[in-house]
Amino acid sequence: MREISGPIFDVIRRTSMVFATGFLAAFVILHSFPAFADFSAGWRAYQQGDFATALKIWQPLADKGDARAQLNLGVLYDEGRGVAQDANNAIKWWTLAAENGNGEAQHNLGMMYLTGRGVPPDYKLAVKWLERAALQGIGRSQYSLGKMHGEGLWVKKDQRQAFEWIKKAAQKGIYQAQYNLGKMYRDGAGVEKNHEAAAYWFLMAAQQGYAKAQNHIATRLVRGDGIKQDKIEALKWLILASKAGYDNAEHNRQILSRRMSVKEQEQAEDLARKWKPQQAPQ
Amino acid sequence: MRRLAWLALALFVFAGTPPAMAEEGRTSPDEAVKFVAKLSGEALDLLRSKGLPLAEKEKRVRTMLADNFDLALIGRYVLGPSWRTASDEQRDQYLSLFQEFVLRTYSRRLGGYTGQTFEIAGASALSEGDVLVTTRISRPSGPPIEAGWRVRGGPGGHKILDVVVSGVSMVVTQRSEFRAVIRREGLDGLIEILRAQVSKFSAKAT
Repeated sequence: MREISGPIFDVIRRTSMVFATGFLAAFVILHSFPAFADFSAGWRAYQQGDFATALKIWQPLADKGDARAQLNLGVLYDEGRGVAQDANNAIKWWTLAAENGNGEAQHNLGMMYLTGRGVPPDYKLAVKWLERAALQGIGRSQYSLGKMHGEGLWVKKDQRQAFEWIKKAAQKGIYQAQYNLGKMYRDGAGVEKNHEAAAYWFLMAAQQGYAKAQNHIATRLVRGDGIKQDKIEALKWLILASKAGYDNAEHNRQILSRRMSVKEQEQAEDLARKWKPQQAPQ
Repeated sequence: MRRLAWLALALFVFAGTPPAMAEEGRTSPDEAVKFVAKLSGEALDLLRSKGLPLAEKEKRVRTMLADNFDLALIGRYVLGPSWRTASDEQRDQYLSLFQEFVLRTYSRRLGGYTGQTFEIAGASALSEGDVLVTTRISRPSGPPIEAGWRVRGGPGGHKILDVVVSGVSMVVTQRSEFRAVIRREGLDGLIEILRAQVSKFSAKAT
């Protein structure tokens, strides 16, 4: 068929293209807005424990390539919510989301390969996805990689790398990483010994409510080891750690109390009462 | 229905606990039954409550599990002979990860459960003076699920040490799974794998 041409047809063609573009835009807006609204509706259903509805809402979004919906769908399958528990399907959705650049899905996928859930364990793939997530700044992946390098588990044993990853995770607010970083500075593992840095990171973990770190920083506060000596603060941490059920803390608390005046003890108790854990963004 | 099965598993995950865990003392079957009845009543009230956001429900289930299961004892048993050779640091890490693993897994599974009915089917004495309280969970379709709870009384109140579903002790099952992992990857490997299990992200709001 011969193509119709001539100036008048050009105008018509151009006009129709403008219309077409307009339609396309309207179509995209209309369809992406409900998609956005749908995603939240799915979340509301999820929070009410109505997983079947959440699944119904997220499924088409996931099919269209929405990485958030893909992550959440994977969670529903992994945990068996609103659907039969099915690790293979979890892996399928997390793989799609991970390839879409979703850091949480990359982390979860790495963990599936590591634990061998739904797939035979595959440490190479596990490490690959954990590294991808870690490079995107997922603190939990950074911490796991750090521990793995420290132990030489599934990756080369390398204290320096262990230190670098654990430091990143600590900076992200993972309290176990903060505690571990404290130990690395204390022992000179992967980094030069530094008592001040050690005390700083033990304190960070303590402030998040990690009882083991609270007990540890207390000892340093009594001795003035890397941190200014302060018996009242030390007692405060021991009271908190002991309340959290940390074994040695109660014993240490009794010993320290005997070396302090009643007034000092009351000050520490008051500080402990007023203390609130710092929430880290994760 | 599946969720119900999980409930059984979960609430019950820990019952057929072994002799090595035993200490002196005898638990009264009547007291053990009362304990399980009270606990399951509270659990069902919580799980059925409407309008409570999922996260809050899960948090409360978690506290309930932590208060009523002796997770430290279970954790030690489940690790098997490796417990004796583990360093203090390894024990510390393992125990806190194991507890997190149990609490997270079951508070998630239970948090979304909306509830049927529990019925106490009986109680029998076990070795070590423990009591196995058997419960029956009825459901709208399918036969009821029977689950047994190994209960031990003590100065800190009653604690659940194991859950037995269809004659299978969850603690014993877990122990053999862990043994296989330790054989393959060592204790540090088990610790990292546990960390992997507890560190997965859940569904996200945005």
